[in-house]
Amino acid sequence: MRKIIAALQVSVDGFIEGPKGELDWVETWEDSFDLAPQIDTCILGRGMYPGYEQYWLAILANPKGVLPFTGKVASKGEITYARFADKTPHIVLSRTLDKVAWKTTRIVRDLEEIRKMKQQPGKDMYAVGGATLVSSLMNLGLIDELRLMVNPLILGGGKALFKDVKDRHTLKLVHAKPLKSGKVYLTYTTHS
Amino acid sequence: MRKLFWQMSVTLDGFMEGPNRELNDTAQVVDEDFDRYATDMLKSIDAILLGRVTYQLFADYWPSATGPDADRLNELPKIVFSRTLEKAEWKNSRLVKGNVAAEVARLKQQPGKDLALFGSADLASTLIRLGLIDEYRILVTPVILGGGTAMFKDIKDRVALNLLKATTWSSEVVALHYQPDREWKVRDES
Repeated sequence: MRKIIAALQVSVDGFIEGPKGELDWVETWEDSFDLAPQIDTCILGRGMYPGYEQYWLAILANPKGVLPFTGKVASKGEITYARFADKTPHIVLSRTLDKVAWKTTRIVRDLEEIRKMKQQPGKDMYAVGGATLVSSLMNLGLIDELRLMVNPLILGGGKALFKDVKDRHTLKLVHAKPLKSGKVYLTYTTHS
Repeated sequence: MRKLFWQMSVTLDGFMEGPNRELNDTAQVVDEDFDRYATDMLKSIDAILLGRVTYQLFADYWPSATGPDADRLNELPKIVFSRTLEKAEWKNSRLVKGNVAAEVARLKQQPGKDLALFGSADLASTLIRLGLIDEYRILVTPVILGGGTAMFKDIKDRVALNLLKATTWSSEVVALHYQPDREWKVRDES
């Protein structure tokens, strides 16, 4: 069976956003995890999806333009990811959302549908975020692999990645790789 | 000036203990990697700082423990910070009730080896806010706990860090060593 891989940028204290939703500490949103070759689906939660769509559609519309949220210009890696995402099926988990702007995105109403998709043949699936989606998938034992890019700062508050995880999970460390940028790339598998 | 490092065992979701204060998911597996680390670390310090809760845990356990690391821990001077503790009876302990900032600053200015702060999350958060922690050693166990006491409490402002090293132990613990990026702080405030 194919895997669901959750891969996220986190602070040392385990937050994916600062207290006011700050994301300025994330240097780049490119595919730092090198997931593109092995996945054929991206999964997002309702909270994260609108900003994600806005960001990548802005890059596709104008690769040299100033971006929403970061106020920066897209890096080469971000343009590569935007093009990858533009041809990769996305699903957004939501009971309330009724339309999306991106042609590659489909709205899915409940987690059971994701469980069924996982049982179908195909490449791995990438759980992009946010925290609520990752916690819900963890609670159902649907995450097989966890990749965290630990950024070198303490945020002191914000949205905790595992905030809604209900049970204890033992993980298996696959590797911990310190990067020149000061980030540490952690990979774990779950025993679900 | 000698440095003060804070060493803390923590789960991947940042808890130093479970919802009922249980420590089984953050207790270090004592294997060769841990032994090597602990022995070197204990040789690099000449005093230990502790908050009340961690002090009491240590004072209950170490005096009757045996082996070179236990001997060293029992011999090393311990400085325990607490307003409520009446006395500190573990060998070579000294109780400080008053000004944490002044006492820690004074200790750091004395000549000698490094100073260690173990666990003691409340005291650590005070020292982080005061800018008195010079190094973080976060020992991440391969567990998601889903609840408990957070390692970082009441930190109001961001702390930018520089990664010193990340090592993997055979117990699948990742030991992350950071120092605060003080230059970043200056830039941030300007």
